[in-house]
Amino acid sequence: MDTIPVVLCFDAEPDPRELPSRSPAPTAGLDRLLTLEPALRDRLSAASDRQAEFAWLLRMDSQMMTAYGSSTWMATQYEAAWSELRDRGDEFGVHPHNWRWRGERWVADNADAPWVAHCTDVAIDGFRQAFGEPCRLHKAGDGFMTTAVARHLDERGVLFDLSVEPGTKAQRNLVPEEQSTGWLPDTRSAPHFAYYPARSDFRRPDPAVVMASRCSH
Amino acid sequence: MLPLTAGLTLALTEHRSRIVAAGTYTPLWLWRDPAQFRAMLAVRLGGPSLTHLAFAVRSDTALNEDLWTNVEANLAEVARQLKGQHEWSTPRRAAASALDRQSHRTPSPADSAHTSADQWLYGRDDPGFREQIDLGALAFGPEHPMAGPTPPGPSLTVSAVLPAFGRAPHLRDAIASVVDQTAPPVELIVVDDGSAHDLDFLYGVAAPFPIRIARQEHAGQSAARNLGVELARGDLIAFLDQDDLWLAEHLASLTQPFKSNPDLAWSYCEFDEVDAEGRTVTRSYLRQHGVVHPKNTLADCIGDDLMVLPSASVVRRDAFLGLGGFDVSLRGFEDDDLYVRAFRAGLQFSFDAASLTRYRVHDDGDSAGPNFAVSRRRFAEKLQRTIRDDRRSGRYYMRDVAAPRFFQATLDDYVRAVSVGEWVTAESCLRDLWYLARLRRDWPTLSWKVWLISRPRLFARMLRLHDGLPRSLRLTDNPSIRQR
Repeated sequence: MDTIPVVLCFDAEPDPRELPSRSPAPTAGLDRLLTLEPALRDRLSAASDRQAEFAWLLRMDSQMMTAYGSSTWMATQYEAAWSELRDRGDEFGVHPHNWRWRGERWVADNADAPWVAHCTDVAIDGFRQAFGEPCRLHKAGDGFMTTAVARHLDERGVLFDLSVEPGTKAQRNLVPEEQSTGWLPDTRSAPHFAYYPARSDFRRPDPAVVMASRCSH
Repeated sequence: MLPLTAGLTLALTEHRSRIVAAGTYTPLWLWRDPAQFRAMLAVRLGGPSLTHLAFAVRSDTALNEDLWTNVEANLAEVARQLKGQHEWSTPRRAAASALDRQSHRTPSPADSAHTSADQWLYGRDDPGFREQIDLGALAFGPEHPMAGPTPPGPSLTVSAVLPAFGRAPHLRDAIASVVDQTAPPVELIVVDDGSAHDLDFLYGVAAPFPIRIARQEHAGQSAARNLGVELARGDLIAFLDQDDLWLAEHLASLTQPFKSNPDLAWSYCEFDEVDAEGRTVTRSYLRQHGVVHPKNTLADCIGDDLMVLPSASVVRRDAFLGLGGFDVSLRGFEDDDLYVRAFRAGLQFSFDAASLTRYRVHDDGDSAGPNFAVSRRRFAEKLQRTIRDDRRSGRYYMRDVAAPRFFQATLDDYVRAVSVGEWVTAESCLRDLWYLARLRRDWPTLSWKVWLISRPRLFARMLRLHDGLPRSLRLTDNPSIRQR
């Protein structure tokens, strides 16, 4: 049996999904996760007989900017922790949501393509600002994805995306009580293997792309 | 950009747990249930296209002792099932390994059956774990995103087909009305009919279905719709014109009759007329104009405009293809023509008297262009060619039914053209008037009337003179302002 790569990624986020409008929410979950992670890493390393490495997807978006005063808050606030994890071989990326403040509450404005692109850009630009290197890894909030986003990520130099969850049908939102526009995508047709998305549909592998040539970025 | 699709990416939040406790939302994410996780993982690992696994954990999961215990147990289960032949990798290394694995592995029979990327599109042919696992046995609640059949619905799927051409100022509204359906289609095919319009915005639409763009050299709406149907994978086709809108229940209502009648070919509905700004002009247009549906006689089918809008129709794909699709030589009346052919072929119709469509009428619409008059003549000639009179029963379809209908419509166009000095159009209408007049039963008496108006410029002067008379002295209202 060949060695199967297994990716374990942690979404580093504030505790609640809906944040106060202009005040920081607690991040107790992340604090605790950072204390639990070393033991977990040790156990997983022992089971695989290889040093375990993880991925960390940091919330960086307009909601973070509004609530914490900076889209890069998650990067700067936990700078020491990230530095330590990087030394252990972990990788970092961004995890933007499309939340938009609409007077009284947050709305996941997925239907507004320019807004979605803006949120993506805030994350990618914030990552570069915080880490001093281009962002290569992305995982959208709530599994949101459109072909335009996939194209945009490609154009912005993002190499790997972990947003697509094959097997899920379209949903208005994850939590019915929350407000949103548009749909979270139907990914029942998305492959379970690694693929380059077609330019016309992110759910389809692009048969024209020679994969190995694209992996050398 | 390489999506490392997460076959088992299953995040769970403490927030959701609290909602579960409140009883308002009951997701069954796999982190919650090690037994489900174990079962899903076993199937996933047995799939033919395993390149990697990916899991996600939201940070606040660590706040819940039970959930964190599950996370640890489930990750240990990964190690157990992979028998140590795995490594916990960063996405970059996992991607490199996954791609290498894909390029070197020996294709399995399942792979060879699925070499076409297209076959992945609907999950029907997906050899992944969803097709191999008894999801019902996993007791997913109805809210779970993995619950439900693939694709949705018992057996009939719907493809939406939308031809786009020109500036298409209302196209975004039309698309939005498809996205907002309570029963969305499995795909939306937008056929770019040789338009210079940039349709790239479609890739950013947050739709619950794939939006596919097909392109053709400009060949008209009929050809564009036909191409869309050819490409469609749905059992049913729902047409939508770029100016029109569907109400949210449009597809849910129009597809319903197909479920109870396997022989049904065409389901259509009442509609509201709206102006360029989307404001209502006529509610329940057919009822308002006394148009009765469905039609039960051939004479009813050809005696007046049917007003069976493609935008208000869902047709069975195989029936549509069996009819040969829309007549591409017609750029108006193509819907009437298709309906007549379907009626003649004995296909079954279903009419919904509820308004489920908003039909936009504006100056740039197809029914206002010169193509429409040309198509009317072609359609009349086609009916003359294809429908025989039944002399024994005294049914003279062209002479008594179709020709009077088209004559009146052409006369309206002629009067309108001479009123505004469109002499080329007027001459064209005049030729059609002579053609149609000769087909009518009252040709001998009608001929001199046509002769009287057969000099467009003179007729225009007569109209102006007539319109200048006091209303009490006019022979008739100027027919150019007659509302059709």
